[in-house]
Amino acid sequence: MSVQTQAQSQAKSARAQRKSDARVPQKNMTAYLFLAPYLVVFVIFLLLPGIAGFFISFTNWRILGDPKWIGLANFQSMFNDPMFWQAFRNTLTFTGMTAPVLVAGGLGLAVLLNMRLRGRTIARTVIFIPYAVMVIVVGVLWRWIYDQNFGLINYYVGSIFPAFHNMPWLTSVSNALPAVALTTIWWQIGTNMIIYLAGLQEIPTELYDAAQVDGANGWQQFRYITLPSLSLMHMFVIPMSVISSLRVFGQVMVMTNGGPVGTTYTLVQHLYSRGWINQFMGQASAVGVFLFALTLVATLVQLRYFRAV
Amino acid sequence: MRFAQDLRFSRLWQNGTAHLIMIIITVLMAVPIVWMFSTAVRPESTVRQYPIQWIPPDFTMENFTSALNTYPALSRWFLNSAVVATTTAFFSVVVDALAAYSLARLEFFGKKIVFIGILATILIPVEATIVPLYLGLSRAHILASDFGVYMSLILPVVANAFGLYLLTQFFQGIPKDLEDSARIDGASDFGIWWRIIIPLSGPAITAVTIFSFMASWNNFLWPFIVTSSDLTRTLPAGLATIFGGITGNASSVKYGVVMAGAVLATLPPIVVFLVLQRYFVQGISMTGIKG
Repeated sequence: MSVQTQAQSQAKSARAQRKSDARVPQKNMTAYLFLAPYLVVFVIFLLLPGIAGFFISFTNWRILGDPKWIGLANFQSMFNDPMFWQAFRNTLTFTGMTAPVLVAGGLGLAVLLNMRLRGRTIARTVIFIPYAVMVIVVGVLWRWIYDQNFGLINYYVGSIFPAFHNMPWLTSVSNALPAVALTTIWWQIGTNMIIYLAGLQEIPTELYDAAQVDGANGWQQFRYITLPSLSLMHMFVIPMSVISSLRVFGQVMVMTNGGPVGTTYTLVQHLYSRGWINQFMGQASAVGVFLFALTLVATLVQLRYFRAV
Repeated sequence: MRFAQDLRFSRLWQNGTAHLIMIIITVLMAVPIVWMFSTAVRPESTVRQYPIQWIPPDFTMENFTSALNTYPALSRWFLNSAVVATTTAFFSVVVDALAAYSLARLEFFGKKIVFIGILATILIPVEATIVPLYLGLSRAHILASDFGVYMSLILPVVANAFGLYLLTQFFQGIPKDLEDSARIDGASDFGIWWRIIIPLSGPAITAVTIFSFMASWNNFLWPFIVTSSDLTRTLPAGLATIFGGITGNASSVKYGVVMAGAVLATLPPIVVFLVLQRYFVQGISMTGIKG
């Protein structure tokens, strides 16, 4: 009797096993059906163009006419082009000016506005609002603020330091890039603040109470509790700030159009000008491939650093 | 006693400093926006004037009518932006939510690779794909028709990795019990998605809708490239044709009219944003990028 039951149950479980095996393809099928719309759009509009861009950079593609394979010629002419190197240098300098301030400033603002301060909700909203202003409006608004003769900045700077009353900003070789960087910081710092605020609110207050009992001062609490607790936030905020700075375009186009004498000319502007002004799509694609490689390297370096920490 | 007094004094001092810093930063951050409004509502003759008067000496709305007359396409661009951003947000939420259900609630072969592969695309700069995308669409004559241009504005930004990630995280947090009892009642996966998961995900869905709406509304480079007439231009692409041309002699720019145009373009998203901002914040807290 008991042997029979055992055999029965064994057969039953074997059957169940077969049945569940048979169901696996069907389960896969349902899962892929749900994924299908996303994957289709993703493949057509992101993956394929990404791969195609790589191949186009080896051709002399124009908007019309038949493309010819020209090997590395586009990259050769790109690396021999002083405009490219200027764009590369400017983009790196710009990123060096904006990304650290966006990250450290965003974190600083988040810590400040996480304190129990009266009116902090209003402050958060005001600091986050520039996010809702489109880049072209940001550019034209700040052109007006930087206006050499009647701008807001020169009025207040000039009233404190009369020597700087007629300071050129966007038309000055040395001031234009920092001026665009300042505008960008104003525009984007609120986003980082909001992300860090969300992270700060998750840190248990007991950690700080315990540290206080142990006699840790404010800086030590920040260094040994706040900073490490936000590690996942850093992994998001820091690469995103760097990447968005490397991709700078719209505000530069409106504020200086790359000038004066190319001091604010950036990589995306170089891509746009090669592709849509000179109509050398192969060369534009080479710039695109370079930009992709640059963001990839920047991100991998950062991820490696985070893993090491 | 002495010590306690010192402590209280130092607390008060710290608190005061923190408030002061907060007020200074907030005022500085608000200045550009306030100045935009202040410039837009004064007569052109009082725009370039020192000393600065924050409250306009004469209040007028003539810059707004003047902006609409000077840039007759402004309302069309506005309409285009609204339609494109709304459609993009809608498709984006549907496509992301379907895919997120699969990633969050179903098991399938290759799941980990698909998930990581999709997340990695957050790092691809779109600028690297616009050349091939533009060549493909223009060679296929899709950009030759207005409808084709609208589709080209919408479809490439529908698959939104950030939205997918956010929804996947949220769906994973919904308890299994409800789903199990529905399955016993014979519900299909689609039924569970539509009747259980979606109704329970209101905040996450709202957050993703706002994110993709704002991203599309502010998108500049791609619309600037694919649109070639005022009929299809979105607001950023159209404004760039006006404002991008203000080079050379800066003293001839009519900043009153320009700022009125800027206010018209900025006010609606700011209002929407102020009303819905708590969903942004909630959305970010839900992504799981929190500690």
